[in-house]
Amino acid sequence: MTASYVKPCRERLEALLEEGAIEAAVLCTADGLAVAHAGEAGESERVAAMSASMLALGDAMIGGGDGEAAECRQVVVEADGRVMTLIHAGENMALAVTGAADATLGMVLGRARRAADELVAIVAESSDAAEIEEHGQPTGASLEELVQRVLREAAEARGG
Amino acid sequence: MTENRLEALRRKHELDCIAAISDEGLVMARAGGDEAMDAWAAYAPGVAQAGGRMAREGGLGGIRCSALILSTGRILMLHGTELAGHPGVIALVGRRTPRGLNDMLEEIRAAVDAALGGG
Repeated sequence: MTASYVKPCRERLEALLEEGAIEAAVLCTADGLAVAHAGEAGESERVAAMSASMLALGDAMIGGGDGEAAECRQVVVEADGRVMTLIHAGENMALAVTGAADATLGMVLGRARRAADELVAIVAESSDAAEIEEHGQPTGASLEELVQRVLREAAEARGG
Repeated sequence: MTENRLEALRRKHELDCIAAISDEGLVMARAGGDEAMDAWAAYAPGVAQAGGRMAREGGLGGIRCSALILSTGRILMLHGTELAGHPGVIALVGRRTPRGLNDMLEEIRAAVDAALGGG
């Protein structure tokens, strides 16, 4: 049975694409399970798995090094004039969006941030939000384990 | 000499730190006094590599750089490249993305290559 928040989340992601500046979006749990997606973001299941790991890797890397007690708010991957940005959506989810070729980074980040806040509210209001919490618990993995996890998932994606 | 050139670039682009990092996660050259860089450097190659694969999986093609936006307002940019003929990473820390990033990365690469005999 599909959780009650999936359809409204997908509708919100589709609305995000209609606003412009964003070509694809994937919402996933903190442990990398795809919740909903819109547009063409490669294979959403693989993108979800890698997004969650990459964001966790960024958190672990920054958390271990910056004397200002910084956190990693967003990860931006820039390639061939386009960007993919990964942001936290609440404590238990992550949102990955791919910007359109003509979009500015600020526009992509701004729209993604607003959508992330709304997606968190959608899930929180649903009757089965506990399912997300179950899949979003921090794993307590070490930084080395996270690096290995990201690279393993990337290798599997490449091989599969 | 290399660090003088990096320091000049760091000042010109108003960055907090520039570092050239080996594929083993060791800082080869650095300008700017960011102590956190030593901790970040060890994992920079893994993050840069994962970013590249992320870009390919997301259908973006060839990656230029990965950036971590911090809650303190700073940005840590990682660019996977060849340094002195070996895989490495150029890391930049600042409050904004420098103008002419590609040219700047090329200058950093040339400075490290010249110092290590790779170019």
